[in-house]
Amino acid sequence: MPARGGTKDFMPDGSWLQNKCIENFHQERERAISEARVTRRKDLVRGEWKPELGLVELIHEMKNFWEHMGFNDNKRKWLHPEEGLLLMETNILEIWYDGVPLSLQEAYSMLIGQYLQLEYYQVYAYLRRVGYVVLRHQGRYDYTKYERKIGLHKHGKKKKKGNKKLVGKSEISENETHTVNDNMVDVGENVEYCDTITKTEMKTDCIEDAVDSKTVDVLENSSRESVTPVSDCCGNDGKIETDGNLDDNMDKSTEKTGKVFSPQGESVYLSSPMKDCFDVGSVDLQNIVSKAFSLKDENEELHVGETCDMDVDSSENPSLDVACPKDYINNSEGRTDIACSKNEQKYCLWNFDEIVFPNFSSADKTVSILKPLVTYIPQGPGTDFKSQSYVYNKSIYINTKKEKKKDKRQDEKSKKYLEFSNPEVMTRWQRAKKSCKNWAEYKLAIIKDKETMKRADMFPHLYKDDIEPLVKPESAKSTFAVLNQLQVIKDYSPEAHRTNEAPEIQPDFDVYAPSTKFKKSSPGIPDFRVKVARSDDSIPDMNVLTSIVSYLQDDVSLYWGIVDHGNTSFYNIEDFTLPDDITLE
Amino acid sequence: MGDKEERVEEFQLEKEAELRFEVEAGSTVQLELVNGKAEVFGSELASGRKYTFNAGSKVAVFSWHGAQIKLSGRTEVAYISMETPMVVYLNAHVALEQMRQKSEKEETRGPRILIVGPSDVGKSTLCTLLLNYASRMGRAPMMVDLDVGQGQVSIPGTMGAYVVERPSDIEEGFTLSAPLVFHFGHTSPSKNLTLYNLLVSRMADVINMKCDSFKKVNHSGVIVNTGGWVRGSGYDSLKHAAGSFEVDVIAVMDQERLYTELKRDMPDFVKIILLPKSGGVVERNQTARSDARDAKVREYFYGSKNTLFPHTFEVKVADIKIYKIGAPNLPDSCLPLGMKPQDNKTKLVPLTPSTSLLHHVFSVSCADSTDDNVVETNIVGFIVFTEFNQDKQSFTVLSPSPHPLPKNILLQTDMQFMDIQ
Repeated sequence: MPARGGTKDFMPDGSWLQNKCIENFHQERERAISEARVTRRKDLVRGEWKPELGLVELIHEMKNFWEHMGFNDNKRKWLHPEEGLLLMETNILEIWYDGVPLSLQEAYSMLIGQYLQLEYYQVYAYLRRVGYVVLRHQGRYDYTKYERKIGLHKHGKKKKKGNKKLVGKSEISENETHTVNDNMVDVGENVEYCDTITKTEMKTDCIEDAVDSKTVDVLENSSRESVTPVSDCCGNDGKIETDGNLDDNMDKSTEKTGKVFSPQGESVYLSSPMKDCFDVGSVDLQNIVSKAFSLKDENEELHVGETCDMDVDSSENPSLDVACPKDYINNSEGRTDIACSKNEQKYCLWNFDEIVFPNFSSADKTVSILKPLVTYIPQGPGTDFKSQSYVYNKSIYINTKKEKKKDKRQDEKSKKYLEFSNPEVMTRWQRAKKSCKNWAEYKLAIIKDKETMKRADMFPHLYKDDIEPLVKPESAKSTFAVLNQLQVIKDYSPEAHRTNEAPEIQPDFDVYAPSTKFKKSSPGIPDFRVKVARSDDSIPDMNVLTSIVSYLQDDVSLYWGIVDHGNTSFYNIEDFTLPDDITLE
Repeated sequence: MGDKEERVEEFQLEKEAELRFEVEAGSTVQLELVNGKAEVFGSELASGRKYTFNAGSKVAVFSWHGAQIKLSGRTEVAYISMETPMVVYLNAHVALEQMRQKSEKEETRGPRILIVGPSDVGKSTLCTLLLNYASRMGRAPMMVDLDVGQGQVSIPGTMGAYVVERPSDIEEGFTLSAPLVFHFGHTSPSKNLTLYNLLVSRMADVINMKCDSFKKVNHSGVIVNTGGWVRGSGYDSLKHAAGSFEVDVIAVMDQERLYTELKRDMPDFVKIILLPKSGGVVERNQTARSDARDAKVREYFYGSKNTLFPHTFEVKVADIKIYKIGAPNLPDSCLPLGMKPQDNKTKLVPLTPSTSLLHHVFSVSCADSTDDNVVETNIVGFIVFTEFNQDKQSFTVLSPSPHPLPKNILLQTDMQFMDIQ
C-alpha cells in the first residue's frame, strides 16, 4: 500500500514539483488497485443471491464473520444484502447468481435497489469499517430500567445448555412469560423467585413456538379432562411434589370459588368451570396468560402461605381466585347503599305564611307585631299582654346610623370592580335559588350548575372564531393553571409524546461497540442506534424523535446517519435545558 | 360586709319593663327579686334568692307582669326602660316553637336558625333568650357558637356546641354537659379563614350526626350564633355557615344592609328576618373585649367564682407533641408549581419546646396520633405552660385535671394566660 502521512498540500500551486508528486501518487494508487489480489478459491465463502427474498444464502462453510452477521432459519444460513456486499468487498464472500459468480459491479447493481438503498449500505459499510458491530434494528428491548440497573438484561438472553432437566416446569412457565411479553423478562417474577440466576437464564432455552404448541396441546388436554397433572402436560420430569401441592391447592380454591385457573406455566390448568370463559378449541394462549398476569398480584397475596420452597413456589405460582373482584363489587355496592341512605335527609317544608316571624324589614316607618300566641310560650311571660299588637318605630329599633365612611368606601369600591353583568348566569342561579325547596336540592343544583357551566355556551361570540380567549375562566383554578393556559408556545415535554405504540419511523441499525462478549443471539441493548437519512431529507420532527426514543424505552441515543455524496456524518439530538435566568438590561 | 358605702336600691318594674344595670369595676352587686315575676335573658329569677354579679357584668332584668327588685352594691348605671323588643323576640320564639311542633308531627328536622349581625347588637343575648324559652318549653335545642372571639361555649379561639336542656343559671350561664369544642386558635376568623370554614363544615357534620341519633334534639332544632364580622370574607363565611348547617331561618340583627344582601344571596326557601337590637346593648371597646376574653380563660381554670383549683405538674417534653395549625403565608412565587397557598392553612406545624411557648393556652386534642385528622378533631381541654425547665426538658403545666394529660397532642392558641391575681 502507498505510504500515507506527511504534510498535506492544500492547493495546487502550479509548481513542477507538486505536479510530479501528484503524478507519482496517482501512479502508485493505480498500481495498488490494479494489483491482482489472489485468494484461494476454497478460502472464499460461497453465497447465493436470492432476489425473490432479497437475501444471500450461504452455501459454503464460513469464517468468523458469522459472529457479527447473518441469521439462520431452521436449516439455512442467510446474509442480508448489505452484509453480503460488504463481505464481497472485503474479499471474503463470493456471491453466485444463476450458477455464475457475480462481479463486484454486478453485485452492486443487483443487491442495491429494491432491498437495499445505497445510503443505507454506505452507512452500514462505514460503521463496519470503523469497527462497530452493526445489526439491523431489532425492535425494542423490554427491559425496565430497574432490570438494567441490576444487570438482569445481561442474563436474560444468555444461552446455557443442559439445565432443562433440573428446572422442569418452572422453566416452561417462565418461557411463557417470554411469549407473552415479547421476549421480555418479567421483573416482578425475577425479583421474587430469582434465587437462581440460572433459572432466569434458562428462559431463552425454549423456542417460542415450541412452547406455544406444547401449551396449546396441554390446553386441549385440559379441556377434555377437567384437571390434568402438570407433569403430563409438560412432558417433562417435573417434580411430583409440586404437582401434588398444586392439586391440593387447586382443590382448595376450587371449592372456595368455583372458578380457578393458574396463569403461569400451568395456564394449562383449567378446571372445568373455566371452559365457560374461554373457547378452548381456539385458545388464545396469550390472552389467558396476560389475563392471569393482570391478576397476578392478588394471587401472590393469596398463596404466600401455601408455598413450600422456592422451586415449588415458582412453578406452582398462583392459582387464581376469580371471584375476588366480584366480592369487591358487592362490597362497593353495599357502600353506595349506605351512602344513599345517608343522603336522605328529611326536610320540613315550612310555610312561613302560617308561621310568622317578626320582621323589621318592611319599608314602612313602623312595624306592628301581634302579641305572641300564648300556647307556644313558657309559663313565665304569662297570658296577658299589655296590648293585642305592638307598634314599633323602626327608626328607634333598627340602626339607622350612617355606615362608617371607611366601610362605605369599601363597598363602593367592590361594587365598582366586581360588577356582575352576566344575565345568563344570574338567571340560572336565580332559577336554582327560586325553584329549590330545600338545601339538599339547592346544593345539588349548584353542583350541577357548576359542572354544566361553560363559558363557551355563555359567550358564544367569543368562541365562534378560530381565535379563542386564551384563558378559560372555568379552568382557571390556580395561578399555575392560569399560567399554563396562557402559554402560547407550549412547553415541549417529551412525556406528552411518550407512547407505547411503535412509531412509524424506526431506526435502521443497532450498533454495538466491538467486544469479545458480543453474542449475535443475544446482543442486548445497543450502544447506539442509527437512522439513515439523505442530506436532502428534512430535519426530523421532534415528536417523531421523542416517540421513537420513548417507545424504545432504553435511553440509547439515536444518531442520524446522513450521507452526502458518499460522506457519512452522524448527528444526534440531545435533551438540554435552556438556562432559566434571563436578565433583561 | 358592713361596707358603709354599700347602697341598696329598689326598683319597681312595670309590666313589660326592663331594668338595666352595670356593675362597677372592682365591686359586686347583689340582686334580689322581692315580689312579682322577672327574668334575666329568659331565665326566671327565684323570689327571695340573692344573685351576685361580678364587676363588669351588664344585666337586664325583664318582667312580663311587673316586679319589685332590690339591688345592693355599686352599680354604674341602673335604669328602667319601657322600650324593649322583648315581644319581638318572644314572637320569634313562638315561630320557632311552631316549627318544632310541626317537625315533631312530621318527623322531620327541627328548625335551624342562624343569628347574624355586626358586633354588639345582642346576638348572644338573643341566643340565650331563645334557648332559655325553648328549654322552658321542655325542648333540648342545640346551641352552636361559631363566634371564635367571644365564644360562650369554651374559651375564645374555639368554636363549640352543646345541647341545652335546662334554662341557664343566672350567674354562671348554661350548664355545659359534654360540649363539643373544636380548636381554631385565633380570636378572629380572618386569621385563618380556610380553617374556619373547614371547622364550620365539620361542626355541621357532627351536629347532623347528633341530630340523627337524638330525636328530641333533632326536633328542637339548632341555634347558631356567629361572630360580628359581616363584611367581605366574613360575609362569605356566614353564607358558608348557613349552607353547612342548612339553616331554615336567618335572623339578622340590626343591620338592614346585611339583611338585603342575604335576601339576595340565599336561596328562597331560607327565611330571612330582620330583628331589632335591644336598647340595653352596650357597645364594648377593644379593651373590654380582650378583658372579656381573658376573663373567660381565667374562668376556665378557676371557675367564675374562683371555686375551682387547677393542678400544676410537670410534663416531659418527650411525652407531648406540640403543634400549631397553619403555616405562615408564603407568596405564590415561593410555592411549588400547582400547590395552592390554602394548603398551608390547615397544616400541622410542629413547634419546638422553648420558653416562647410559655403562657400560651394550648388545646389538648382528642386525637391519639397525628395520623388522625388532628385539625378536624375536637378537643378535650386546655392547659397552660407556666415554666420551662431546659435541663430536665420538661414543662410545668397548669391543667384543670390532675397528672397525667389525657392526650398528648397539644395545639397552640393565640390566647395567653398569666396566672396572676
